[in-house]
Amino acid sequence: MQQRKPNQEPPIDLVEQFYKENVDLKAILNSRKARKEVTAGLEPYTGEFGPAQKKHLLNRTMVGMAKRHMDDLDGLSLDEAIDLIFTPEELGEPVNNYFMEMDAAAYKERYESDDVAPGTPFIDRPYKRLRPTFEEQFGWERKEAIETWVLKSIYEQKTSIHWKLFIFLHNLTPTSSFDLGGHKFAFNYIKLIFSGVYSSYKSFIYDLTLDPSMLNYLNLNLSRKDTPDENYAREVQELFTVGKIPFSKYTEEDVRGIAKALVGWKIDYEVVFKEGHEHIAQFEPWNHDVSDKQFSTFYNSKTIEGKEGEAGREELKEVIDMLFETEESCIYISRRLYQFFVYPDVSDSVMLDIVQQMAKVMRENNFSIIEPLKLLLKSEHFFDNDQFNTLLKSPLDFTIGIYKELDIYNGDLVKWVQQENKIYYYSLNPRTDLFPTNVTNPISKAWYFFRNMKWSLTSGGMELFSPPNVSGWPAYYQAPVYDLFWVNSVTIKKRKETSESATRWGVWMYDGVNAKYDLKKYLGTYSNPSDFNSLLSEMEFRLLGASLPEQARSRIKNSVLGEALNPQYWTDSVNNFFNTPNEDNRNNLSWRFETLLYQFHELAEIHIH
Amino acid sequence: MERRKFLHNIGHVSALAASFPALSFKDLDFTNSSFLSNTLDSGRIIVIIKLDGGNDGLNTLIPQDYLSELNLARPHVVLEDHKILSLGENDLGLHPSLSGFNSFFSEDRLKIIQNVGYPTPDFSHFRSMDIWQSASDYDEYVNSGWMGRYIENQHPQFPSEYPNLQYPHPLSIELGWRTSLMFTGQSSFTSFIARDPSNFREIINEFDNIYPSDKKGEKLKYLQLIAKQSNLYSKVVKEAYERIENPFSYPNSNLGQQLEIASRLIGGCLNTRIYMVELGGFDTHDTQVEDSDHTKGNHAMLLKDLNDSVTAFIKNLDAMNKSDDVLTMTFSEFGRTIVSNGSKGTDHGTAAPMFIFGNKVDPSILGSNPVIPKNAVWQDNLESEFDFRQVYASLINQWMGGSSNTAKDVLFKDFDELQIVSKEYVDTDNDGVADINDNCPDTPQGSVVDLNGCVLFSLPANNYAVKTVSTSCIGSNNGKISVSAEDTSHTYQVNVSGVESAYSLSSDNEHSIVLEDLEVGLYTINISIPAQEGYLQSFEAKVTEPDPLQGKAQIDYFSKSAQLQLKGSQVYYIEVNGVMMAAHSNLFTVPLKAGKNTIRVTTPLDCQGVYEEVLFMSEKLRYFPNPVDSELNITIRGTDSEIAIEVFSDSGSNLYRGTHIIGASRTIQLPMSRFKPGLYIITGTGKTVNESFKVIKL
Repeated sequence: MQQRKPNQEPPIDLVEQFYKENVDLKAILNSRKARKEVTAGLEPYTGEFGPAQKKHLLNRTMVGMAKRHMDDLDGLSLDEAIDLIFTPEELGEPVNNYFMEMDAAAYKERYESDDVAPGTPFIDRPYKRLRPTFEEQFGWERKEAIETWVLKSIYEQKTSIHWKLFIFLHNLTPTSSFDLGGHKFAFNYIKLIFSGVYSSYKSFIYDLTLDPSMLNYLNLNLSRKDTPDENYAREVQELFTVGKIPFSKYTEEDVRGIAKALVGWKIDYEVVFKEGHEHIAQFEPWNHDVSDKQFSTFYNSKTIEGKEGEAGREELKEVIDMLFETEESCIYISRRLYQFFVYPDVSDSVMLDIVQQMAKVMRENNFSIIEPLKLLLKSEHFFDNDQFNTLLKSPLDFTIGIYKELDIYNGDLVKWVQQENKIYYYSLNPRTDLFPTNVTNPISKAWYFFRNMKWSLTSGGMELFSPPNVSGWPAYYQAPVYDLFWVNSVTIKKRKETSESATRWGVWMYDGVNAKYDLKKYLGTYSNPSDFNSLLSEMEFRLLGASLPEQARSRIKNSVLGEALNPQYWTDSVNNFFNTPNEDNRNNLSWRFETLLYQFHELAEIHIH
Repeated sequence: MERRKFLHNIGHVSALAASFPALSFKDLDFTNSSFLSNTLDSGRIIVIIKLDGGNDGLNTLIPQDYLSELNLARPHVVLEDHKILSLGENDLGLHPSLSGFNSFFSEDRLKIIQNVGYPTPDFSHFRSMDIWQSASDYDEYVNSGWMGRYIENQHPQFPSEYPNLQYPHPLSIELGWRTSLMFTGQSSFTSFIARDPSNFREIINEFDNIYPSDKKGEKLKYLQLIAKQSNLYSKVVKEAYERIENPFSYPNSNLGQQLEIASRLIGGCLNTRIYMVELGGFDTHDTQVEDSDHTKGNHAMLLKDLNDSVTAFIKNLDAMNKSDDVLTMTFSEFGRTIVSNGSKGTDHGTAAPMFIFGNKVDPSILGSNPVIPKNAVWQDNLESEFDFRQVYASLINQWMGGSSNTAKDVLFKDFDELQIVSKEYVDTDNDGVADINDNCPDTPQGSVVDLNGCVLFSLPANNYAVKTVSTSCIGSNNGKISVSAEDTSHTYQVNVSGVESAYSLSSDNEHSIVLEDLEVGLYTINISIPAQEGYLQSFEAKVTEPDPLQGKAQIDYFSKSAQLQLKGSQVYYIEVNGVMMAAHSNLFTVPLKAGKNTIRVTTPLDCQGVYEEVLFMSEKLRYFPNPVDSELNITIRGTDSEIAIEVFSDSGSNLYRGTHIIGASRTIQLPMSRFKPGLYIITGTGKTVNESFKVIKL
């Protein structure tokens, strides 16, 4: 029997799809109006820091929740937990994990036999210009090597907010330029936002402006002094720093002023064909607008003096200074932090009591996004019960959450084999001989596993490094729908497919081989798996964002325990399996446990956190 | 990939669309009567009633020849002799609650199989139910169900390509709690849950939860709504459900409600072939009967529910003219002990009877009456006479259908068949001709047969791919049509109108040919099979004239390239400065050198013409100051060693022409003092330079 192979599908337009659904948005908005607000402010939270609070904190700070993160908070106070969560992580480097996937001839042609060995880094290697178009220069396999590396890093994240903030910055200041400049520019962008998390947001924006992907994505690279391109000049204000009109009252003249001040910067493509990856943007004085730039009262009628020659470079710094001198800059960023980490709909009182205070902290701490966020995540406001489980999980949180919780990547590999009219279900252990080296080699295994995950994310509406546009994903910013955008009648089926394969048949990897969670190991993460009722309530707390509806509870019990609802058979099945983990005992338990696990993943409550 | 193979592949993807855009899939060949060959038309249906908890067979179907032994062995539950409904055959009687069963038996619409079980019975509900649903041996643990395997066996593409044109309706429906082991396949759930057809959900299989309108409730409500809307099958199932009302009412019980839905779906022309319903509560360890009257009590109520629900179901099917199509079968995980216990009940037992209803059943009673020992003790249990997998195998072969290996593939072994469906209706090969009239009882699935059930030779139209793969220029006869066949077991002859010689499709050419050298025109392609007299399939294909080649070029100075937008062909030959390249797409980027670049594009068809373009990729000139007073500095990038400078007045008259040597600084000085104040146009021309700009003279 063939296992289902997922298809790589084109990305879906979440906004367009939402408006095709038969949803009464008015009714939703009316019920929002009728809702009472959370009144608690930023004062430090002093209540109980128990499992529910820990789960809420982790839901919002990890990329995908898993039991191992809860374990890391065991015995910690809130302050200690925050300290742990704000510990930075190391960014590694992608390696050649695509060597099994490439046809030998194509491999040779593309790199002229000059590729790096399996498992070794390739970022600093030049690549040959063999094709006349840039698109073809960027070897798809190196692109996917980078994508799978990022997903693997997220999968293996420590109990640290670092990767969550990476996603925050990627969504806030996105580029979609992976086709340009090859693996080096892609890596530069990733490195930039990864380190941007812990740096001053202001200096991050300076660096971002000159990042080759960004220079390309928002056209600064092509800006000419006769007709300065306004794309970056507009977005750096509207989306990256001071926010949208009417929130911020910058003028069209300001857009033109910044466009003029920034004309002259361009990408140095040479790095693509040399060793190393560090890109230094070039400045061409002859292409710089040397006139004086006059700004509106929003920027205190500031004038940036036109500068000739190399001095023209300085104008970028002055622009960044000017942007961050506005009060609005820290307010806008703090608002985006609040929307991302607490709730996307920001009321007037939250603006006043929370966002403005966070903005103050951000300004006092050299434009750090960490400090105001720490304050928020330690506050009474954040830990108000009404904030718990109020967000729809993003496709990334949903998918990687399931994979991490079940630790599928480090689980078992399985394969159906038909022999003599009978179907056998083989696991890698002990039948290594039946499995292709593509999936048993630990380096290429990562390629297949995380590439499949990438496909799930794409069809679910969130392809990393390919946001719908420069505003990022609509679920994070577009009022009034916000996170409802994630789920529509197309993506909900994709979510079902993702959870069904993860919890039951295994995640397709390569040639009929599926990755499955280790049943024994996973059951072992529960305190008392042989006690059915205890297991059920532990799963309820761990997996769901709301209590298990009563009817669903009895349905689940009935489907696992049968008519008699006698939990003894369950207990025996689990004990038999733990005592004698042979194939029969596994089969006897596995379909029941999968039925149980899968039914949890069918509930609406699995999609919120 | 070699060229022929490439064309062959193209053909398959697009042949139907290209040659027969209006072909409806009704024209495709499939046999209407076959069980799972489609869900477009009505056909045979099986309804399975699962009796949960272990039904007491001895109080359901009573061997009246052992009444005295039964009175001794199970005094607490035994039925009063005179109240037992005698079947009038084999000394067998039915529980008095089963009057409907009795009628169906007398109408020859009930098949009874006695003593069904399996070797080495297991007394655990869970284990025994697993064995019945998975169809495994007692000591074998299989985590898929027999129905799931049957559906996957017949539908290897399920569920990723379902629903589709041929299968718009669910293959199987469960009206019980949820997907049970029976319908769990090896890589999919094969059933659709239809607990409440007016209000379906499948993706998030949930009852209508009422959520509060807080932040969290908003999300949950929204998810529930989207889940309902995205339900793949909900629309067709709901439509079928609402198409018809049941003429006869059902008991207001759980089972009654399930069968009520089932008959409305069947009557409403839902062509789902497999249904499962369930009735629980049969685990009657105590108070199985009332003390005062053993024909009353819990078991009697369950059997009455079963009897009344099944009776209403079959009456409704009769009224809807559907009962010929439906077979209804009961099963339970085991029977109960011979000996009763003091709490007026019975304990987990072994073999028990199965009941199968339908207009087309073989109505004889199978099996001998269970033997009740004289002085039965609690360890005594009934011997099983038939393995339940014999019943499954018989259902597959006599009712559900498949190939001759299907039953073995699904059940892992061969089992002796029992006569369940009356011989006159058994149609093993599913060709619509019953075996007793079928001269060829083993025709392959999907064959078109004659009245004797033998194959009429036919091949589906989509066996062929006929496609125009290349247009032709008038007068040059270079059009091409590809013809290929999927079924490689035949040798085909291909005749083309206006072409004298015949071609053949055989293994010599991988059943794929390309007819070449065709001029513009309409061709009829007749495909016949020499070994099958009278067989002919015709196609039409048109060779047209190509559109003229069109092109447009846009220079990108920064990447030193030009983007060509081409139109008119699939392949372009592009010559840039004497270097040839081939492009397979309409957008192509070519590198440019500084200076003059000649681009020439052609296609394989001469009549499409040539697109030629000369692009000058000039080095940039930089100049300052502007406005200029006395001397204008002009910087020339690149490597030219000299440059011709011309100065034109605003009105276009040439005021100056001179050649300047470019030094190491790459900047030349142009004296401007001799010109009057005003606007001037300056051009620079060299090997790699062709630029002009305007300056203002002060």
